[in-house]
Amino acid sequence: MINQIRQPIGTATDTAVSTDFPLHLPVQNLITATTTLESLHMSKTDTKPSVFTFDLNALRLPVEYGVKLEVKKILSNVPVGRPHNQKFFRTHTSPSMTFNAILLTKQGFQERYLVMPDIAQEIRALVQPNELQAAIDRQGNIFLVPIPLPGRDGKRHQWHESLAKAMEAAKTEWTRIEANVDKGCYDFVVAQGVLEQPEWPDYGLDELVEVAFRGRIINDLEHSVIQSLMGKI
Amino acid sequence: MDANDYPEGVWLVSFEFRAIDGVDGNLPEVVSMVARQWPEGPILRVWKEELERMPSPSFPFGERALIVAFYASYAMDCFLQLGWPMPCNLVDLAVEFRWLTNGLALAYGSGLLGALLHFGLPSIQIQHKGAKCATVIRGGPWSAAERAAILDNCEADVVSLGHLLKAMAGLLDTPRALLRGGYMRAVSSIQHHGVPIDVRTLRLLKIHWESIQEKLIENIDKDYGVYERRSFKSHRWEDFLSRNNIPWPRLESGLLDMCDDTFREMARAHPLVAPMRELRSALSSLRLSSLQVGSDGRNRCDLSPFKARTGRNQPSSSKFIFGPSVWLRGLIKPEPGWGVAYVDWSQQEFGIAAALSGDTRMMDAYLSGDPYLKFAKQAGAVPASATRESHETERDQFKACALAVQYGMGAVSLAARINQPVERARQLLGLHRKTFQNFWKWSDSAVNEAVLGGRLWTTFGWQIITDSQQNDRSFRNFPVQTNGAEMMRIAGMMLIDSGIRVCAPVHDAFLIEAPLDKLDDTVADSQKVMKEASRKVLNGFELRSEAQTICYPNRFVDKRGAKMWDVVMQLIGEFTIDDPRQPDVPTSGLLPYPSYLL
Repeated sequence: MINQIRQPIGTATDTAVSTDFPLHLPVQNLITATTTLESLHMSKTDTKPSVFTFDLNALRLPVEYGVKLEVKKILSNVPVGRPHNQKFFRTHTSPSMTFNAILLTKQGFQERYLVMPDIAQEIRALVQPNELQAAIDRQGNIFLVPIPLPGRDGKRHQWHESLAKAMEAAKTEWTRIEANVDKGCYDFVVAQGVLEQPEWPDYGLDELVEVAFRGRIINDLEHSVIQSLMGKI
Repeated sequence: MDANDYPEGVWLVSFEFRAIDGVDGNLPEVVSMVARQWPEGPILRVWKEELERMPSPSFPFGERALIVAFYASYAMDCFLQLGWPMPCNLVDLAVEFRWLTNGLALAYGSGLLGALLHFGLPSIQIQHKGAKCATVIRGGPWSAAERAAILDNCEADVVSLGHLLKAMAGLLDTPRALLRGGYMRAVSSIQHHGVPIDVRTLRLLKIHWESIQEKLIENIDKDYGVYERRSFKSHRWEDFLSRNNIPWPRLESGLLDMCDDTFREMARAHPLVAPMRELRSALSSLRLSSLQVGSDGRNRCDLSPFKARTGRNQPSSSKFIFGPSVWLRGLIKPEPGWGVAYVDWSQQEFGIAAALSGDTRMMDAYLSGDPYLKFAKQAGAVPASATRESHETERDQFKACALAVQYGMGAVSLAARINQPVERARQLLGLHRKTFQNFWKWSDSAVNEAVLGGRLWTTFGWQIITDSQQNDRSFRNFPVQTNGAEMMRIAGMMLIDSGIRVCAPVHDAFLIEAPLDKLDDTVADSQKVMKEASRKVLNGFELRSEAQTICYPNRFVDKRGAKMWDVVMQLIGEFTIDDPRQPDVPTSGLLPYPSYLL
């Protein structure tokens, strides 16, 4: 039996305590004036330790990640173009989410530019008036669909007419378009399942247009695209 | 931590001990204890005989005192072995150091030495412990000099612990550190009980394992034809997969991915793969001699609480009966007059994700009783009248999808899992996002928090320091896994404090034990406790549980390993046919006449 209370290793008195400590002293004889075994035993309680003594509701932390960080997803890209033939989409029902715009399409690159009306007057042959409609796919990706407007005679191309009809249908049904080359128009199909309503992100048309045409607004005849199309560079 | 909160002092405690008779798996033989009132109180050194005579510790351990230890479950093992009452307030600085640094790369590890070096504290006293530890493990009798050295060793730990506490006191989240300390008490009780093992069958397995292996290959491989003697041939496996139309993940090199994780995953998706996975695992990694079974037939090992980053236990896979291949769980057998029950939460991770994200559709799915079928209904993929039987395929796919999301699996892996084109997997994952939008917002927020805030935490304060080394999959997975671990800890403490004998925690389940006449009641009580624990972690949301009971003389059966167990037992029977001690060839009972038996 070895019982000993002594100064800790590493203190000034440590040199005397390597192996020559008392081997047979009962614990009671080793209690100091300040720490008696009796006092220690008296201070013990019969309380059984238990998880039930913890106030777990008070210890519980909220796991609302990101709340203080106020992270907001930035709308970084709004494609402009016809919906992909494999994607179902919906169009916005509000008139405020449509926008008549004059677009210039640079062939070969499928790049669309928004042309300011006064500039459009100068390059009528190169531009086309369109109605831009906000649309959304089932993954929640938002995009703008340009639908060419009728000409001065009130008529429009069969492709464009069928596209306009599909866009109208997409206001109430999940719709998908397919090019029917034989008929020279778009066929469109609507989803038959009971699908959820689209959840539109909280953006106005101004913001969508701004993002969609960032760096692609022509407000000057000196614009490099115009210069290029006019063979000046 | 404020020492003034404990009028009877903060006490540092360390023990030296060894397994009784030096047999791993036995309860501890306590050799010595050193305690000290922090910060500069006298040091109390007590040798084993005196400890064995003491009815309780010779220092305060009630509500007005705090006990501090490093690896407190070891200290509590010694408390239990000495028949001492457990301390009311316990803080484990090993756990708290882990909590403080979880996620960081530690230059010196997370042991006591590593913690001291981390804080720039003196560590010379504990740098040369190896030889002294060997003296303890060797067993008695110990000479006077050896006793002194062992006590000095123990004292060095206590002195170092004092330094460490001084460095860490201001950094502790004390209320939750005490809760974690409470779990260390529970862990010790669980380790003390251990898992009942059929030692006779284990002995036979050990004796015949070498001979069994070739027969095992012969038996199982006859349906596959992939082995050449004891060598697994990849090209033959490829042929087998092709014949059976099983898609298999490949490495960038184009070769089949043959790692065990892949085999495990694929075995879940394709039952045909399961016996081969068990065979490969048994041949390559099974070390029966490592399984720690004490002289009393109980499997006991260090459960290594909080060792995983998620805060889960991480016991050695070779020492713990739930670690090696699942077929080996057939060795779990209750003692005469007793039964065991495997009680696990139903769809725990799905329920946690639903409750913590506050996604009401996901919660509805959980509460429906069949979250996967409900998910399919919510997504509009099956009619509202669909049942598990009428739409089994769809349900299986939506189940695989829900599980895939929990593990951060992509479309390609999910496609392999459900044996469908990648496009179908994409659709399913898209439907999950669409159906459970609030869950995804919460999951995205967890990524933002990890990336910007630098840390993630659980309801009861376990945390991980996040850095760019970790990927967003682990950030998304962390809240679910770690709160699952919290639930296990709360339930583990509640079970122990309710007087239920817990043999082992197993991921989202507990193996409990009770006399046969009380087994049903004990299972019901356990399920109530587990429900209560889920309410505590999930702010009132309840998770269900299921129970599988095993009454003596039956044995535990994990159906994934039942075939393998039957084959092995059949082979043992053949090897011992002329042995007067012929075994009773304990089969799983699931497969009375498996076709591939000799």
